[in-house]
Amino acid sequence: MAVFDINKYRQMFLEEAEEIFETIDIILLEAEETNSMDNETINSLFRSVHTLKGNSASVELSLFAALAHEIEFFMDRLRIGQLSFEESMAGLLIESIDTLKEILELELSDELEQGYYDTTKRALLQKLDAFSEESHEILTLIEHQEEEKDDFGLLLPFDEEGVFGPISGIVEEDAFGFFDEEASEIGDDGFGFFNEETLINSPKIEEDAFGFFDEAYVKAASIVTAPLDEEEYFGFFDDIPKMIEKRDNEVKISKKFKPESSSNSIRVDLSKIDGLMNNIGELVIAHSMLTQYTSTMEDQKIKSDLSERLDLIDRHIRELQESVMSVRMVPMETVFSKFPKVIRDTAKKLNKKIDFRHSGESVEIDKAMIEGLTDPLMHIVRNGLDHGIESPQKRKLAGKLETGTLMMSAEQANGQMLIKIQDDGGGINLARVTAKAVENGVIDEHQASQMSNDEKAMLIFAPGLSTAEAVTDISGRGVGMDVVMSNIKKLGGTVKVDTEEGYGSTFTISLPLTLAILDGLTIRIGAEQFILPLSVIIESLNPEAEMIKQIGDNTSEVLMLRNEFIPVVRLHTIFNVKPDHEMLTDGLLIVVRSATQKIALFVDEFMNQQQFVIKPLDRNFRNARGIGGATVRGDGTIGLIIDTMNIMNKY
Amino acid sequence: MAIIESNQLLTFKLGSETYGIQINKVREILTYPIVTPIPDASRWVKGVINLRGEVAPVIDLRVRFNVDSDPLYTPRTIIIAVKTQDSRMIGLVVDEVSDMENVDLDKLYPAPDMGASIAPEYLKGLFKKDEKMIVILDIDRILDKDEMQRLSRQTHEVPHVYAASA
Repeated sequence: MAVFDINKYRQMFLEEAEEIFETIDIILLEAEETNSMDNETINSLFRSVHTLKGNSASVELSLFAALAHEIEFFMDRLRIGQLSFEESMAGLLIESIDTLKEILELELSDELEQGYYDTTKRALLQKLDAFSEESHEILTLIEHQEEEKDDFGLLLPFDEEGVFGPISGIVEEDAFGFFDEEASEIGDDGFGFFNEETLINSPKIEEDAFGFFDEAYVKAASIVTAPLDEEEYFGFFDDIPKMIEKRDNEVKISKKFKPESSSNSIRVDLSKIDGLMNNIGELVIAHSMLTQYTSTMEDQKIKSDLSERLDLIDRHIRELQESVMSVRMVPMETVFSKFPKVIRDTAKKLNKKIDFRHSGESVEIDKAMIEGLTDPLMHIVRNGLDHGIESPQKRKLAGKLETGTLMMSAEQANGQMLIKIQDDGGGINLARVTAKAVENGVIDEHQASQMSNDEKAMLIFAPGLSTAEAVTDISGRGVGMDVVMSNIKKLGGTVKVDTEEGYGSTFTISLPLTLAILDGLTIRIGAEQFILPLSVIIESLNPEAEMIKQIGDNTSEVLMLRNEFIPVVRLHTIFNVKPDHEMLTDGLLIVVRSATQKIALFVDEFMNQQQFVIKPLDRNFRNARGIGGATVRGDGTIGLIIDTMNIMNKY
Repeated sequence: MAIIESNQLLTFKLGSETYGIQINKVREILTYPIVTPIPDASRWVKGVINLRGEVAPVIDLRVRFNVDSDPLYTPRTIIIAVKTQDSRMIGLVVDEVSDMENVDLDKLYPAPDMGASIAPEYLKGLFKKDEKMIVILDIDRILDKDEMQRLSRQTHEVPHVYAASA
């Protein structure tokens, strides 16, 4: 009898908790944004916290459970109507959930000190209790007074255009909020975090789906007064023509996540799915053996009957294979949903205003890729927030909206997944990046002078290059962008960056749709066959003698193809096999993309094109140069997949 | 919980010597299939095969331990498929599979320094049966990933690794 291993269950709990936290974050962020929370949302929040409490107690995380209990209690009062939702609650709840996460981490690693826990819990309870015990009006007034002294707070004279009517008052601003004399700018902000208020009594108004009231502020909401009656997400300030113009330019992009109900899904270890794939592979092989056997049969009647049935089985196997593949696929939403919270927190820390948008959340991606993708994306986003998007003051000076936009999109095109991260910040200072690269010895001056702007921009992916003057805890240590590049490459993808100084940067990541299946072309060199990924092939040709040029001591050959010089790589020398043809004009040249250039691969012949299930080779070996992976062919033998990215390193 | 080591051995021959590996490491025994050679690999890595859907390397123990530097491969050549501690499938080429033996792993003779053939660090010990000696291989040590990578890097310069290190 094995010892009851609490850690195993804790691990399960942790995985579940992460998912629940994510769901809660999404709900709360949305509530914070829209300033509302319907009963259904409150119920689902309550259930989530309740689950956390119950499950944590069962894995003996008592402190966490106790804290979760307090939050649950608070939610319960909200749920049964003892409390009504106020705008500031979302912020407070986000804070509470953050505290919960922190406590969970500490308790799991056994580093939670009772004293720290008590203080944290007390502080949190005080804030929670504030809602239940004190009169709101008084509290808000007090809080409001304090708020004015807040670091982020700004006092501006009330707008002079009289948009808000004849009432004069005080307008505040906080980290997220934004207000300005120029009324036109208010409306530009799709995310619309601003907060206006007058201290003079005015009729209360309804605010729906518009203002993003920051947590502290929102306490003042009960006395927020402004003569704006029907505030709507879009129709705000309709009476000012210039705003409408700007609005029209904006494309509404979905910002809401709909947390999926998790009740009809199960958690499956990826290795189990891989096991299933292997089994199907075996089935395919057994099938092809049977087909082969059938073809040797003499009785024509039986032969054709059998073939027919075998075809049927073949179709079923294919369908089965596709179904299992689709199990691996999850919507991009899973990736996107991690960002709003991070962006909100980072923006707050940096005192910047960020409008995060995303599109294409239903595009599906291989689950195995998500882990490898999240880190690089996170890095690019943080970099974009830290270095890309300027401070509100700077942006204003540059004539931009104070709120920067960060846009993330996913789409499928040409059998590839394209993920774009776009910001409207300052762009990359190419001169500075180049100077830094020369200084660090990444390139020399001669190279620098020859580089196009696109190539210069790619320098940010060189190791050890950071142009940030100050190292912050968000970015700037110069490790990172090179890691982004290598992580993406590991997934079989590429990163491109387009930047225009003063107007922002766009990072485009292209990835294969799945890590597991590859469209490939079988090529033959002598007696050996290799598989070349279709995605790298540009064209193929049978070269004429005059297209081949020798360079230097006749050991390097180049193919001259329409004003381009493309180095020729003789695959047979790399793979050490005896070819049918030694003369380039007798065989075929396949022009492919290598890391930074085109190369022409010399092969004897190419065979058929089909899909292959990729299997890693490097579980046992260092990757052989020029070989990126392996696959099981239809007849059960192993085929090697050529990796054009590292083929040139051979020389 | 202590790791229970199997005390059953699968014995096989490399040249004239009898060797043994623990039976719980063995997944199956198969005859020589079509092996896809890996370019640029060490001499003792014959290539890769498909072992139940996994891409498994085939290592010729005869070449690896310098029993036979240029062995023959026929469709009757035997491969023992083993699974390592870290769940990698690997095929081992041997001359012939002999028998099963029960041994008490606590009563092994320590492996002496055998000179040119196999370094003692790759052995679990020696076992005597009816005046016959069986050399018990430490398969996890031999097939250790780092070890294999280190060796495959060296092989190009030093063909007889063991002669050099033993």
